[in-house]
Amino acid sequence: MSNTLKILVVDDSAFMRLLISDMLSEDSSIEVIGTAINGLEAKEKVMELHPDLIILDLNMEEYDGLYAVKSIMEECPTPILILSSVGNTNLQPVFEALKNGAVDYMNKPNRNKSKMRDIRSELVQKVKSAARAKPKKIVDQKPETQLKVTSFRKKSKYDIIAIGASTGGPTALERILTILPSDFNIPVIICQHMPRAFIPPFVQRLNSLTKLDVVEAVRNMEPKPGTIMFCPGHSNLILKKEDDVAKVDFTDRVFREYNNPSINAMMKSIATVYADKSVGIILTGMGKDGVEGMKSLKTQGAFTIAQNKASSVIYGMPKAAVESGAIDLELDIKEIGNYLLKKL
Amino acid sequence: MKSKEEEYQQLFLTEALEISEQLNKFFVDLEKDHQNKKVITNIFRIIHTLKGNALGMGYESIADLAHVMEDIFGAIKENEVAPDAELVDSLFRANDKLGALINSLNSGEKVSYLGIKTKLAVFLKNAREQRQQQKNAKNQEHKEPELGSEDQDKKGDAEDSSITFAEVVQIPVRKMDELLNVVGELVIERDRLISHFENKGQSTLEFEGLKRISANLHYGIMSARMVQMGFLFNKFHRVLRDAAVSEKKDVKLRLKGTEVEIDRNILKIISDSLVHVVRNAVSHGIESMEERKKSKKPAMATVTLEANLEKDNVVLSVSDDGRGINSDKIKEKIIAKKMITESSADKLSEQEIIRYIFEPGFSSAEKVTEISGRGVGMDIVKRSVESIGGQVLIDTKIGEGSSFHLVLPSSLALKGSLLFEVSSQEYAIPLTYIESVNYYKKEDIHNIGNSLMINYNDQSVSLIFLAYLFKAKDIKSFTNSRLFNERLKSLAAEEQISVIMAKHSGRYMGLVVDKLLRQKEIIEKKLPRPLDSSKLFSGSTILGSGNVCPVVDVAAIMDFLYKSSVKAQAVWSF
Repeated sequence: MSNTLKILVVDDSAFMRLLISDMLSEDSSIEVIGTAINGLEAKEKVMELHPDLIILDLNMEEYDGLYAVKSIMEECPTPILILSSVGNTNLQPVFEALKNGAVDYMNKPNRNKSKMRDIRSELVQKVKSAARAKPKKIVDQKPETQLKVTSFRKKSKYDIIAIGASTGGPTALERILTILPSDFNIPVIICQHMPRAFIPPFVQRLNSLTKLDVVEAVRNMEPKPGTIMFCPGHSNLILKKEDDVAKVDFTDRVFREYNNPSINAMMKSIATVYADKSVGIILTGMGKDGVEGMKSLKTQGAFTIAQNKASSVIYGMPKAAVESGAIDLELDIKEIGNYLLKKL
Repeated sequence: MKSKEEEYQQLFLTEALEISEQLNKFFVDLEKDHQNKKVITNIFRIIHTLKGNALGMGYESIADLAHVMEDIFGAIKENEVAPDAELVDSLFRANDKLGALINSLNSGEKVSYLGIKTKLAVFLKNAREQRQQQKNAKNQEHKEPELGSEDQDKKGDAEDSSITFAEVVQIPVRKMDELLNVVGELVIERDRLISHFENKGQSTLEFEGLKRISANLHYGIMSARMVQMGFLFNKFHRVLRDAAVSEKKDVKLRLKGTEVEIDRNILKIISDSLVHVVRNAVSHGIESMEERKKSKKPAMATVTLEANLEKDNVVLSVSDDGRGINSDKIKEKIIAKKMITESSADKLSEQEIIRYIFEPGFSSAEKVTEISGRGVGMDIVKRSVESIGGQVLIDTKIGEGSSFHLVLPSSLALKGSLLFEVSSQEYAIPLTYIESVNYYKKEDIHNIGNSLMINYNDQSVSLIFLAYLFKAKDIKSFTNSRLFNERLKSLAAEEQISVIMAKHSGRYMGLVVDKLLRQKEIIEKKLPRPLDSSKLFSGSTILGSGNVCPVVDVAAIMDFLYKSSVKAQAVWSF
């Protein structure tokens, strides 16, 4: 097999198919091997051509993108990158697609807002990283434990759980958080790499799926048991201590690995404020963001967990964290929620 | 060979036009069956595609309009909005614009879509708000745009084709003001040069070109600051609707003269006043539904907002076809409120009685209503209009309706003025106040009561010797002075005095000056200290000679004298 990435582009608009294909063809390591105009044709082409990655529009006639995700993941699991234009009234189909096995998502190009070169490099980068994912049939969708409200009474020795995630994170987070019962008494704070506009609807979605309050963090908010705080996408969230109370703040400092929101920024501030009273978790994702943060946590005596290779959509950040020696424990995604519930 | 970009554009065009055609078909289906889910889903999908593609090409305006339409259908899908006949009608027009925008990519024509876009956006916002508040209010008027209308579409906006620049630039008002200041200085400097040469007895013909060019420049900048009245008037659909709903009256709004232009800063100053006058018209001017029925008037009342250019002024008129203003009722009221004694009131004309509605503390409504009885009275309206050198006039006929005319300068910056001299000092008076300029002899002047009067158009008009007024320490020393009589006595039989006949708020006043100079367009600025404490002047200008020339505030003088005379009468009659 050659080293080129074989791509299938699915969109009901010929214009969009051409635009995307051309943008990808500029990179010699990428080859568009076919196009499809709806979900059904997409599935058929996947079976026939076995592409390395599918770029998929969700909004198509009759057999739409969601149909394609479900049927492809069922019959021939292949990495899928969802392409959607922002500003839709409803982003839930995107999250549904992710839940059903799509790897990642990105905005359709907007040539007015940014330079063509930037759009192209973002697309190419997303394509390359998503193509590395090893999607499997999603069979074990049910939570491992029933939610027992009484199961979590004793005071934990930890005061905060910090989670960092990137590609594949939305689904992984869903699986962890839906296990936690309404009386889970350790505050949780999450940094998920995501375009800014996607964060509020994702928070909304998690809030409706879990028994806990999921909120987008604002300045001066205090971590509280029963509340899951989400880093917004406008800057980098940090926690600071004021009159012995931890509060949310933001920093304009630029973090090289990933900026707005940065996992490193959040984790490092938590290492300072909470030290050994904290738990750090690094989930699936491309790149190295969070590694420095997990190292700081570990140094300060925190307990550190990484998602294992088998269950990571992209085993990038967890791998780097494990290799840096910052990790106490590696767990499958389906075990993490239970572990938090029973062992902490 | 076609370039890649051309290929994109052609493909985009083909698909976009196809989508626009499909939309028309789907809208027809939707018009027949408002609940057709499949049609709604299809529309949502293809508009979404069009938006995505437009962004892909960087065609912001198409994406913009498609986005709003997409939002509407998102809301319809979620049952937040019902696609009734009116909405579908708007959607058809939005699709026409969409088609025009797409075609303009080839033709390069300018297409404006902000009106329909605003309309849809406001519709969606209102529908959502209404839905949250109450489900029963199925008012048809909620679609009125708040901040603009399709009239705005005439102005043109950013275009789409590959490399174009917007035909309209936005300039902060502050910068316009600075420009105007600079050009004002230029005009002063020009006048200074001219008068310098004149004083040396040299010809100033050489300056004609400079005069013309600087005047053109001046007018150009002035007109760039102008906005069309429609900009303000269109906000009144909503104002009127809200007032009508809360008063439970049926009122429609008519707009006339929306194309008349006025200085933006004036609009800013008088917009609150105009709102107040319109609300007043609805709550006080227009009768209750029963009352209208009894007097056999159409149930639907009309309020007309009209702008007209008259000389140097823009006249904004708010007219209603209501009950008119009953001066007897006002008379009763002001006597009851001890604003005037009965005997003094008997001496006043109907107009003068009616003008009492502009006095602080007057409220003619029998019951205090929610919208127009709240503290802000007509006195505030009068004050704000006069603060920019305007005046408020009233026409009213019992049973037929009332009109309030706000007479405003069309520009705050430049004023046509008459220059005159009193005690060797130059002054200016805006032409807007001047009825005529006359010369009178001793025999024309009558001594009535405490003041000197002349006959003008069969009316007795008081003469005011500005020389004494400007010197007077306070109003008392001025009105009580015997100086007038002395001046009259000292007048030789053949000597003529120059009188500027000023008119304000329907009243005349003869201003006696030493010498009439010339007419001139002036740029009025704030008074320099210590003159700024004087209430008799609205501002000042700098003349070519470099002298500061105060601008007489006719409204203030009139108020000042009139009030003191009513007070004097009141005291006298006790």
